[in-house]
Amino acid sequence: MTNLEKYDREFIKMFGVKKEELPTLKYRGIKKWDSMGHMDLMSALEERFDISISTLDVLDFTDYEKGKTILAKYGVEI
Amino acid sequence: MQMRISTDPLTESNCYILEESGGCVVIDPNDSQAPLRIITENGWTPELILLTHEHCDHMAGLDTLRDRWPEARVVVSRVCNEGIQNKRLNMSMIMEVYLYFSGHPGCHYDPFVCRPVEECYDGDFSITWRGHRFRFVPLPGHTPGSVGIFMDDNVFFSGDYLLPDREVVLRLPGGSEEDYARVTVPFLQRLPDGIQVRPGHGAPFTLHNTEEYRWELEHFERVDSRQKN
Repeated sequence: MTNLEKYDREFIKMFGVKKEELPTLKYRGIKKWDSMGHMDLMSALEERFDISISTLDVLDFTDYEKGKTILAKYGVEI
Repeated sequence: MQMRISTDPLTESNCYILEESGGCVVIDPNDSQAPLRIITENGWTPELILLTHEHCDHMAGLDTLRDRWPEARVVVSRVCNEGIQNKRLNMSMIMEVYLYFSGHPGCHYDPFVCRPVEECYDGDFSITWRGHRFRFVPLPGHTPGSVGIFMDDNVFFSGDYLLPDREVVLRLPGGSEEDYARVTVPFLQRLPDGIQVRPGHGAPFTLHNTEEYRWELEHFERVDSRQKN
């Protein structure tokens, strides 16, 4: 499984969205991606990619696309 | 018996210290300093340390107390024991972010784990301390290792359930709406009228089969409704 597939799978599993919805997915853009959902997502991504995302980056992770840039900082190329 | 409550100003979690004849029980040592200070200043000796669940805001002072009083008996559920040794499951890994979203931006919170506990239990379990019976009932939902703790059948330490004016949080790592609806809510609904509730956050209260059930029942109905749909 590629990193992109892993990345997408976490969003789909966490928020119950379709793959075609991912590019426009934003924090607080859907009900499930609220503060609790955000923490859960960060935790799942950390576990999935075996990284530890800093608090600043967690707060900067405001949408699906931005998340790719942030994960790249931790050596996860998507 | 006298009871002291130490509330952590940052996480607002409660640590309960129950003293009798110089010995004490510590339930949810929430902070590494405040419970230790209260116990030391009063010259008490912790004889029993209990946890309602594995989250860091309920056990951040556990190892400090164990270091100071290694002879204290520590009793936790087996699942809770696994959780306290895991930064993700004990929530310390995301506590800084949680605090940010809870209105405490800029707080620093170091992830940590606790050492394993030797005395663990599964299922319904009871112990006696100085003639008082403590009974532990597994209540999954908020976390998989959550328990309710009865003392002498008339006091109930509810952990992160039955929190005054707060909805139960079921979406943190390890949380389960299904377990909460299936196991925990039916149990909480059967609590006897007049029992003294000592919640993990907020002020103690006496449970009456009316208003105090509101937040649990409302949530249960929402969960139940979603599962049926």
